[in-house]
Amino acid sequence: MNKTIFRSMLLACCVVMVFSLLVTLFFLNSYFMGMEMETLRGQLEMVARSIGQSGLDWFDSFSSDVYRVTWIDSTGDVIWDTESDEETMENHLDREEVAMALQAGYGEASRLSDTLSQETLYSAMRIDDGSVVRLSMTRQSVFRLTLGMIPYMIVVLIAALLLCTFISKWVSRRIIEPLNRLNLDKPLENDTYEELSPLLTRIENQNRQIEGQIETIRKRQKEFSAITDNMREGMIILNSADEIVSINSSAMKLFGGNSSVIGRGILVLERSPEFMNALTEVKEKGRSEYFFERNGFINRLIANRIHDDDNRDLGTCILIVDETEKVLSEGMRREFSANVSHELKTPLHSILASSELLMNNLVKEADKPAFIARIHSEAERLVTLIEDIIRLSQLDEGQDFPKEEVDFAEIASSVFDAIGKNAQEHQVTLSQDLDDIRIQGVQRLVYEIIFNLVDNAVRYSKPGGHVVLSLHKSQRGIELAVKDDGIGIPAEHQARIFERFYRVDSSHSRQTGGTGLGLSIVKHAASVMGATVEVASREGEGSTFTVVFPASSML
Amino acid sequence: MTRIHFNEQLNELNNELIQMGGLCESAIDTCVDALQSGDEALVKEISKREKEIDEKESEISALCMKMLLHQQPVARDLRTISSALKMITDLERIGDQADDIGEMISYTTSHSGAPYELIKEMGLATKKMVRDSIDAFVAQDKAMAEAVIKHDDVVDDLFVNVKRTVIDDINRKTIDGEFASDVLMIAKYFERIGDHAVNVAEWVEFSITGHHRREGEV
Repeated sequence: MNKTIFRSMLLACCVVMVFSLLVTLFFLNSYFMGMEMETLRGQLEMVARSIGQSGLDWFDSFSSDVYRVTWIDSTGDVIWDTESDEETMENHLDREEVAMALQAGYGEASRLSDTLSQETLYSAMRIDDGSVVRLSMTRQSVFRLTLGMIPYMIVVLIAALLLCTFISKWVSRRIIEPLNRLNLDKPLENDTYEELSPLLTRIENQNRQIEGQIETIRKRQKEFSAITDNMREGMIILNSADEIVSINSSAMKLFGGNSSVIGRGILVLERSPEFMNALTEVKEKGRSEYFFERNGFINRLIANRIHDDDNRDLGTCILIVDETEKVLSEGMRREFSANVSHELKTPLHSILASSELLMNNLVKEADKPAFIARIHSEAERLVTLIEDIIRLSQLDEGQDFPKEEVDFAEIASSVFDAIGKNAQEHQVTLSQDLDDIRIQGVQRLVYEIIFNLVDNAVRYSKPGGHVVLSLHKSQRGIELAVKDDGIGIPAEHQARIFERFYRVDSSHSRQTGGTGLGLSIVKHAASVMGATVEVASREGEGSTFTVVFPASSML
Repeated sequence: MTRIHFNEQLNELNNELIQMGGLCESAIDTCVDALQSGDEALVKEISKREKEIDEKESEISALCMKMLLHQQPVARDLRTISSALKMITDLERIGDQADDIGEMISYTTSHSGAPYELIKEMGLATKKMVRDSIDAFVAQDKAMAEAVIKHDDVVDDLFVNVKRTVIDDINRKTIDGEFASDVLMIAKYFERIGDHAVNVAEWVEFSITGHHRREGEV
C-alpha cells in the first residue's frame, strides 16, 4: 500500500515537474527571444544608417564581441563581414533573413548551430543602395539551457523523493488506521470510509454464511458423536496418514485413551503386531479382521478402507465388536457336542462288549443274568440321557409352553413316588414342607425342576441324610427350595455346575449315575417360566438349591 | 521445505519406535503365555517376533543415520535421534532375551512348582515395565519413565525370591537339578529384560529433559 502510494506520487511529481519545466522554458524562451530580436532590430537600424552614410569606412571603427555585422550586396555576395573573410563566404541570397530584407526591406531569423548548443539570431535590413546589412548575435540555445538545469533538477527530484516518501507513509497510515480498527465480526457497525461499505456488507453476509455452516457442522458432529458414543461397539476413524480423526467412547475405554489422542497417530493407542498387520493389510486389500483379547473380553476388530469415488485413499474405519459371548457360546456348543458323543459312547460300548461276550458264549451260565442286567441298565441310561438331551434341546428351541395352573403338592408327591425307591436304597429320608401356593406355569417343567433337584439331592447325599423340599412365599417371590445335607459343592465349582455335562468330580459321577444335564435342564426350565435358580452350598455340609418364581405368576 | 521433510522423518521415527516397542511387548506377552501353557507353538512365535524386532532395529538405525547425516540436527532433535539410537539397542536386547526365554521354556522339563509360579509373576512384572516404558515414550511422560525405573526394584526382589526358593528346594532335595538351573536362568533373563526396560525409560527421560541419569542415581 505504502509502496503503491509512493510510486504514484513520485510519478505524478515527476510528470508535473517535467511538464511545468517545458512550459516555462517555452514561454521564457520565446519571450526573451522577442526581446532580443527587438534590441537587435534597434541596433541594426543604427548600424544600417551608419553604413548607408559612411560605407566601408564604418567597419574600421567597429568593434564588438556581441554583434557581428555582415554587408551583403543585392546579388547576395558578401561585401564585408566583421568576423570572416568575405572572399571565402558563399552567396547569402538564399538566407531567409536576407531574402526577406531584399524583398520587404526587413527580415529576421534564428538558426541553431550544428551541435544545438548555440542559437544565432539574425536581423537584416535593406539600405538605400539596395544592399543588405545584417546584424547577428549568438546566444546559448534553449537546449543548452535545459542541460545546464539538470543538476538543479536532480536536487529538486531528491527533495521530491523525500517528500513523497514521507507523505506516502503518512497517507497510507492515515488510510490503514481505520481499516485496522475495523471490527470484522460486526462489519456493519463500523464507522469508516463510505467506499468500504460494499466490502463490509459482503463480509457481513459471508460471516453469516460461515456461522450457519459452522452451526450445521457442529450439529452434525454432535449427532455423529451422540450416535457413536452410544454404540457398544468401538469405532475409530483414521485419515490416510493413520492419524485419529474420530474415536468414540467405547473405543477410548477399550484402548485407554482420552480425547487428546485425536489428531495423533493411531500407534499412540495401540501397537500390537496384529494391529499393525491389520493396518498394512487394509491398505493392500481394503479390509482386515482379527480377534484379540483385552480386559477379559474377546473382541473382533474390523478395519475397512475408506475411499472416494476416484478410488483415492481417504483413511480407515475401524470397528471393534465385543464377541465374547459368541465365542464362548461357540466354545460351549463345541464342548457340548464333544461331551454328548462321549456320554453316548460309554454305555454303548458297555452294551456292545457284554452282548458280544454273550453272543460268543463266553459267559458262564451263572453270570448271564448279571450281564443281561448290565445291558439293560446301560440301555436305560442311554435312554435317560437321550431323553434329557431331547428335553434340553426342546428348551433351547424356545418352544412355546402353554401356561396352566400348577399344583406343587401334586407334583411333589409324584416326584417322591418316582424317587422313593432310589432314596430308600441310598438311605435318604425325603420330607416336604409346602405352603398351599399355586402358580401360573408349566406343569411339566415344574415337574422337571423338582424331579432333577430332588434326584440330585438324593444322589449326592450320604447314607442317613435328609432331603427337604419346601415352598414358601417371600419378598422376592415364591421360593421353591431343595435342601440336603450331602457332600456339598466346592465354591470354585458353584459357578459352573449349571453348564451341560459339568461334573464336580467326574470319577464320582460314574458311581452316582446321572447324566450331567439335570441342573442344566433345571436352569432352562426355570428361565422359561421367568424364574431364577440359586445355589448355596458348603463343602461337606450340604447344598440348598432355590428356585425363585416371580410373585406375579402366583394365582 | 527441508524442515517439512525432516518433520516427516521424525514422525516416521516415532512411529517405527512405537512399532518396535509393540513387537517387544508382544514377544514378552507370548513368553508369559508360553510359561503358563508350555506351548511349543508359542515358542516359535517368540523367535519369529525376535527376527521382526531385529529387522526393525536395522531399519530404525538406518533412518537415524540418514537423518543425522542429511539434516545435521541440533538441540532437541539431536537428542531425540540419539536417544532413539540408544533405545533400539535396548529393545533389541529385550527381543533377544525373550527369544532365549522361549528356548529355555521349550527345554524346561516341568511347568509347575513354587519357583515356576514366581517366574510367572516376574514375567508379568517385566511385561508391565516394558509396556510402561514404551507408554512413557509415546506420551513423552517423564513421571511414567521414573515409575518404570522405580519398578525395577520389584523385579529385582522377585529374582532374589526365585533364587532363594530354588536354593531352599535344592537343600530339601525337592527339585530336579535341570529344572532348578532352567528356572534360575529364565529368572535371570527376566531380570535383564527389566534392566533394559529401565534403560529405555532413562533414554525417554533424556529425550525429554536432556539430562541422562548416572548409574545408581535416583
